[in-house]
Amino acid sequence: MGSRRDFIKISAVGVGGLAVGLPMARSLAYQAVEADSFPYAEMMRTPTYCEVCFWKCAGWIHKNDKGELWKITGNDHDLHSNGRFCPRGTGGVGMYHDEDRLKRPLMRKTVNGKQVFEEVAWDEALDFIARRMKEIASVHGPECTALFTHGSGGKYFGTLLRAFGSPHIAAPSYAQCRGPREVAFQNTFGEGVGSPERTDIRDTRCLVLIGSHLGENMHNGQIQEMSDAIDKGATIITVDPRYSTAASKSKYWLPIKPATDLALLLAWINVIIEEELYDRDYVERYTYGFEQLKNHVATMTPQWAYGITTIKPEVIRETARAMGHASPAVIVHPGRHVTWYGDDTQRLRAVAILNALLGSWGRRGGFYRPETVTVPEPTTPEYPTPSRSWRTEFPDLYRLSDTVLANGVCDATIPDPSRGCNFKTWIVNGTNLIETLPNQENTIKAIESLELMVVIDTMPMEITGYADVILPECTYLERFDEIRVSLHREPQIALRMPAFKPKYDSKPGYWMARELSKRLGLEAYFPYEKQEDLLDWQLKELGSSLEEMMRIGVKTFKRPYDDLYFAPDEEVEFWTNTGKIELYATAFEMEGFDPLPVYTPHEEPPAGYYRLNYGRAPMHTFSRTANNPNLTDLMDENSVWINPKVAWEWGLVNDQYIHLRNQDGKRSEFPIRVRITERIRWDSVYMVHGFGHDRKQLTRSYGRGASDTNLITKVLVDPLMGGTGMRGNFVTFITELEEDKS
Amino acid sequence: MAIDTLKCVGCGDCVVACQTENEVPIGFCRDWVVEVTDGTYPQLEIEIRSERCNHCENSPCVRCCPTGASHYAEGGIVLVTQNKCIGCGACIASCPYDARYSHPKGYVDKCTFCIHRVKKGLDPACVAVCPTRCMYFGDLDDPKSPVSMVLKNRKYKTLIPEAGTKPHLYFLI
Repeated sequence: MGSRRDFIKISAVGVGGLAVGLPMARSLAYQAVEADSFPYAEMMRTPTYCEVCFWKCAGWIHKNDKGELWKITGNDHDLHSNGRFCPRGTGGVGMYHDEDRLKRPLMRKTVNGKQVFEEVAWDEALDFIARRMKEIASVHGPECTALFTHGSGGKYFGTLLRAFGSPHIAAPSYAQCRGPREVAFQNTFGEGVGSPERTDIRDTRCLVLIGSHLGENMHNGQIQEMSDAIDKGATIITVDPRYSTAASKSKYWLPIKPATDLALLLAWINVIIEEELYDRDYVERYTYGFEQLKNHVATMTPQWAYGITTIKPEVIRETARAMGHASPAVIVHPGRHVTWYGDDTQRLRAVAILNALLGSWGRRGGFYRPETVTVPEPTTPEYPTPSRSWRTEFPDLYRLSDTVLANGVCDATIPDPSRGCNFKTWIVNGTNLIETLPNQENTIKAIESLELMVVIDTMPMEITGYADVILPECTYLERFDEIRVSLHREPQIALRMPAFKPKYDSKPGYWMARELSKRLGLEAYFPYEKQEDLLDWQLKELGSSLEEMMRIGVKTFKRPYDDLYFAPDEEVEFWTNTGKIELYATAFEMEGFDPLPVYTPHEEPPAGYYRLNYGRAPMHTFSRTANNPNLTDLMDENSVWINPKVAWEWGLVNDQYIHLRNQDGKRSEFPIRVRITERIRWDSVYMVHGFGHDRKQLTRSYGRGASDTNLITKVLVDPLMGGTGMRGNFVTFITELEEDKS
Repeated sequence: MAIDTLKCVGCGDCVVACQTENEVPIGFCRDWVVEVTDGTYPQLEIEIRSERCNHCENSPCVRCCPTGASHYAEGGIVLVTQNKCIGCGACIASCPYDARYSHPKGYVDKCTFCIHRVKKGLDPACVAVCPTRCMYFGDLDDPKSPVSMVLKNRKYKTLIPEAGTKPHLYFLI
């Protein structure tokens, strides 16, 4: 097999060309038959939970009097949304309507010596996948099959993979996003932060955001609670080199020099200890290692941090006092996308330590104790025991990671004489790895080494261009999915059911996974033919039923104990080595890592280069919404934020299109619009992630804006858990658009 | 209607909710978000406003409408009767807030304060959806309505008051 990289263009032609020549009669006939059999056509309002982002708000899909999709609104009883969807959830209608959706199964075939995608029947696609999976496993073992997943349907492909004999289920939401935070909090409090975060923002008196741009990242419940906190007069402290929306809502904005956050955190710890602003009882009762911490930070004064962070000592003191005075109703927010500089776990450890000193963990206005519901699973055979795992390929690395690393699997796919096992099959569900994993060339190299790649998605994202088989999933408006259970203040479940029958020839993930299981002889792991029967059984076990949930959408249960917060004087056993909150991380020490966080300077941009910072816009989720007709109507391209002083030096003007080039000479594939704004520091630039798509099938987003991932070629890997730090890249400007592709 | 600029994050949810609720075609909108940055780094301020028709008491759009399509409905809401509108666009030119647009179907369209919802006792779609709850809606003549209460307790401003149209969209500052 030759290089797949060249195939993007060819495959683009293939899909486009074949779509035109589609036998319409066949698809229309298919729809006519199916319409009669769709049992929920009469329901004017059906429950769902949102799939546009990971927050999974529960709501209602409404139909108009013609039975067509009208609008999506929140469910008033839902703890994630409180009846109010965010713009992406409201704009979820666009996912259903998007005419660029994947419509039919596609297989890579060679026609006249050229590789193209050809539309095939489901049977042909599934038979092929099952046959190839078996063939490859017979040579390399089933463990060389990996699943990358993001979103709801992943559960069923996970079941399939485990039944097949592979433990390799990776989610880029870990090592490319919140992994360092989870490891840091697990090694301090014995528990991670979870999702939705257990932050009690609505009752806080002081909220500290470090690079976390709430309001631009639209984590619905948190935004709502931040607004409540503003109403109640809470002090907000925002640390960000950019004047973010959150910064504009804050009493204190600390315009920090990028990459120096850890120094600020250590100086805060210093002030809180030196000025005795910490919660003495809490620290004595619950924590381990206070004296070591005190000695460790003794020299890390605000004056010391001033030279590093450019934040004035008096501001560091004043903000530390604001936190101390609000204690314990204070949240030093752990953030979410925290893979920045490669020492992220240690930075998040400093965040955890700060919260521990302020006594906010387990306290009102700090971090509450979440509760959940356990959904029963039907009895199925035991999963086979895998004989090896990705860990055997990285024996001494990332030992504190408690999950399979997406980047680890990707690296272990590239043949290397030092490794005995390479992955040969990837199943990619709902995650556009090309835009998700940093260092695209590495990802593509891994893909080129594969023998089989299957992509399941609703949209023709970049990753589909590299697949051998593309399986079109129907959108969340057209399918059942697993019952939503989550960590929240009260145990709650939510139902997703189809409001419409699947458009085109798309299918739900459950159906695909089960059909594959039949072909692999693993049907016993999927005892229910119809997902609704499985859900009905599960719901009845929980004291509800499918019929009831179709009416109410969400159901809230009572907490078994009244323990949302620690009771006064409660003895708490923490799941750490010492049973205490570990200010001094004993597990880190055992693994040979710093048990207390140490600030190390990071590389700075060379002259004429600026640190590439990236973030979110409230109306988009990663790259997955970039083609949504409703959401592109709000924002259809990203821009590069440049400080006016820098713009003046370069002679840039607003709305001009330029290219960016990074420190390794990588040039942005598409030009990006200049936004000259005072809201950004002179040493960095900023852009919203998720734009600059290079697949022509994404007609609304193709070539609109630039991709930050494209420019993230340098990856700062966290030695503790393998997180991929992405903020160590620097860009310069190319104002000549000599090869303008747009 | 009153909108709290201190809470609004400018997410645009009001725009999408209005588009879907009122089946406003993609590419058009009845409400929109304005963001104004003031100052130089690092002494900065941003004001974010969700804007729409101001439902003015002294509306130039109603006055200039040749067919009477633009009119005041109950509670002072300014509306356009679609089948009376000839699409001449005089109202679009007269509106100091640029709150109206030509609907592809040939009439002029604008914010109705979701009168179809208000009649059922519901809030307009934008108010109902707003994740930050930054919008307050109600009868200004009723001192107990949410909007009257918040205007009594907070500092506010209107946009372009010098146009003399007596706008009824208030921005809390």
